[in-house]
Amino acid sequence: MTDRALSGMRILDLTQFEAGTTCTQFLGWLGADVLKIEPPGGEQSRRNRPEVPGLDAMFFLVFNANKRSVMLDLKHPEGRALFLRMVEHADVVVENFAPGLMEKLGLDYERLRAVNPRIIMARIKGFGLSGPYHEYKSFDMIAQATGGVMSVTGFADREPVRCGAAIGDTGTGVHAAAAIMAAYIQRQRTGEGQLVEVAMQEVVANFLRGRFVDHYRDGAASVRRGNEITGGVPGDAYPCAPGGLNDYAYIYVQTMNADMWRDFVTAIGREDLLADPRCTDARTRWQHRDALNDIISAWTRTRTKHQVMAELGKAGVPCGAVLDTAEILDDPHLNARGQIHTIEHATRGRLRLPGSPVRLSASPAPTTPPPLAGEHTAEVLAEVLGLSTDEIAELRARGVVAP
Amino acid sequence: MPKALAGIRVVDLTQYEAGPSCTQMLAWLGAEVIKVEPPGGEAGRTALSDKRGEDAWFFLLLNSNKKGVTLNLKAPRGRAMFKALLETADVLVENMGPGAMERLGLGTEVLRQLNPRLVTASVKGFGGGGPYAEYKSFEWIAQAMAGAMSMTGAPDGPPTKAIGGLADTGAGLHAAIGILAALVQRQTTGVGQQIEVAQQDAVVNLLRIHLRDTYANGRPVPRQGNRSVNAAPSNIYRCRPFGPNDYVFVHCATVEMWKTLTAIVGRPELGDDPGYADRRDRVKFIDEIDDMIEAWTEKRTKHEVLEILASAGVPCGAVLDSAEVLSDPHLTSRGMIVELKHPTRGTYPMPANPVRLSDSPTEVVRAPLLGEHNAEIYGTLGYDVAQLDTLRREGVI
Repeated sequence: MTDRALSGMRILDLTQFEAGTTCTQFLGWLGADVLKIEPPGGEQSRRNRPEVPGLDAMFFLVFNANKRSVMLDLKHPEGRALFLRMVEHADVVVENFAPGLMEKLGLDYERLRAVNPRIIMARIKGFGLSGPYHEYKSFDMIAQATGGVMSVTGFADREPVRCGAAIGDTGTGVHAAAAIMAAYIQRQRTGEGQLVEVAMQEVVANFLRGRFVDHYRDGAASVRRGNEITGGVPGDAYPCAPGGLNDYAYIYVQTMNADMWRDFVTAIGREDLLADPRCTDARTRWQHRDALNDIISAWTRTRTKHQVMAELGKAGVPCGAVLDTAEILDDPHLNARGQIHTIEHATRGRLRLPGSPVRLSASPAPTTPPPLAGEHTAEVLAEVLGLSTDEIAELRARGVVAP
Repeated sequence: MPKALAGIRVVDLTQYEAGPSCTQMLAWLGAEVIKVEPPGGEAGRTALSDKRGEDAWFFLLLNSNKKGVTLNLKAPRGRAMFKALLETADVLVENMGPGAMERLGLGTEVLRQLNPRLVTASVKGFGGGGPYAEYKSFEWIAQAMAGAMSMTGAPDGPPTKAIGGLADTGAGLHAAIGILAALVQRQTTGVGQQIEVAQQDAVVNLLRIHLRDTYANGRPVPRQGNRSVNAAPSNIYRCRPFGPNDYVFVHCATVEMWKTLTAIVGRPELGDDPGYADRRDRVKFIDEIDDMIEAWTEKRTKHEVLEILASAGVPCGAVLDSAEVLSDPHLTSRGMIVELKHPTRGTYPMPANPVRLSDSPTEVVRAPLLGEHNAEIYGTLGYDVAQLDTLRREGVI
């Protein structure tokens, strides 16, 4: 009985931190059975700046919902043997270890394929498995630097600045999830698995794709332009009341859309601008952008960002309040759509987590609590490999699995 | 060449970026993507062009590996042809404004009756339901509404937009995931389903990591420029010859990386100092550490620094500009940047598919000209040359 899109897909999840864990969490929402294989003591990110000493860190909790946890020591020869037995019963293996680690463990793709030709192995790396940088380590911001995003983010008179969102890490996990499902669809025809590879630098370049336009047009590197949209008035983040750090609203009137300009000036009570020679078209508005942006700011400063958004949004003018992270969790729209899920965690209590960002009409995606370290070790070994309680106890006594 | 999605036909009603990025990914993975445009061309092809009559670069970057047909969906005959095309399709993707599909008489129920196996995907700004459902969105609007802008920029500066299609390409990729999952489910159930992705949701997903500090202290995550409150060094450092992008990003996560870095910059005693062993403890000395590193980097170019630090195991990235990305030796050697030839635009470097499947290689093919595949696609629906001529004269295609 298939009640979720990926029901029946079993994933051995060797991932840690973010770029890999976000991929397998996504597949978990879609219905895959994700078995998170963790080293003794648990995956490192459980202890990454824990807010409550001894309990799983929020870092871990935001990326590991909808998974089961198995503690298994891959450095122990018997642990590796046990892992390879599990590979026989799995569809997908995902890893994002540092370059060379899987090879060192003797768990490269060729080895896995020898055990199970149907296995799909997904490898998430900073710079990929080949090319001059392939041995270099990476993090989200390293990928943002080398993928070009940092060079164009920020203001012209200041240094490059990184994008707050983790496009290098979570962005790569999202790409990997797509690739794994494509390989799974191909396997249904061919009966064979394959190797999937995703590099963080390349993912960032893919996010930047639309912004290579300036480069092609001008034949020179694209430059930083702060918040403005070249040629667009309004097209910026405008300050709102009461003037706090994030009290801004981003407003954009499409340059080629005269109706949208009329709707905008009507909404701000400045129909007089329709006859103003500075506002004949987008070109003249851009020439007089400083004066016009002052007029627009004078209006936005008298309202909160939420008022600005409501007034302009209802008038059909694209506008977004600059929400901070606390406002995201409380946002009425995200909550009305059921996008913020509340879970009960065994040790951390009640938590609100953003749920699956993709909605399938026939595959509901509830968020289940991230597992405790090794919470499902015995259950999974019995279910997948048919091991008895005594056999599991022996493995535990020899330090191969825990608890 | 085998392809993962061979045999899957995608009808592509998308425009600009949030939809085309989705269908381009499906095309790279081997699906047959038929881009259906109005007779004058999709807005991303025409309105965004720097030269009248030429396809916009923007369009060329987001529509490779697709077939292009034209069709007037506002004409009754055009809609009939569109429905005939949908009967042969597996997937329909659209990113029109709220309610536009219903106005064309192509609502979910109509599509389900027409082809129960059809997977339909919609990419929206805020998604159906909820107070913002009717609001229009663009990349920057979604970045604002999902928190990305609030956490990007200098501590003493305003919220700053990140340049990169977080909301557009990001939502497109999320939609591709939904479509692929639905195709897997269809193999068991035999029926399609409806997929929805909101840009706001997709961007929240991309920054979920940064919510952790809010959980801990209930406060919004501040803008930190390039520094981190959790680690030092973790910043950009100036390099020769001091151009606008002559910087490297250096991040030390482990004590080994810190030891290697301090040895390289000539301060090994700090590598052995237990007070500096933990990346969080080092935040106390952030100014001293940043000065120490920059004193070393500013004697070198970013490429020299990258090679020295990264090959020694210290995470480091040169801040590459768009020209350097398109010519980066690593990306070009891996085939991530390919050269394409266009009949009127000439040759241009194109970022290729960032996901690699060993048994489904991606060969990037330039974006179609307007209506380039009309005869081929409509031919398979039974239209002959004379009929297509008539349809063209009557403005249907």
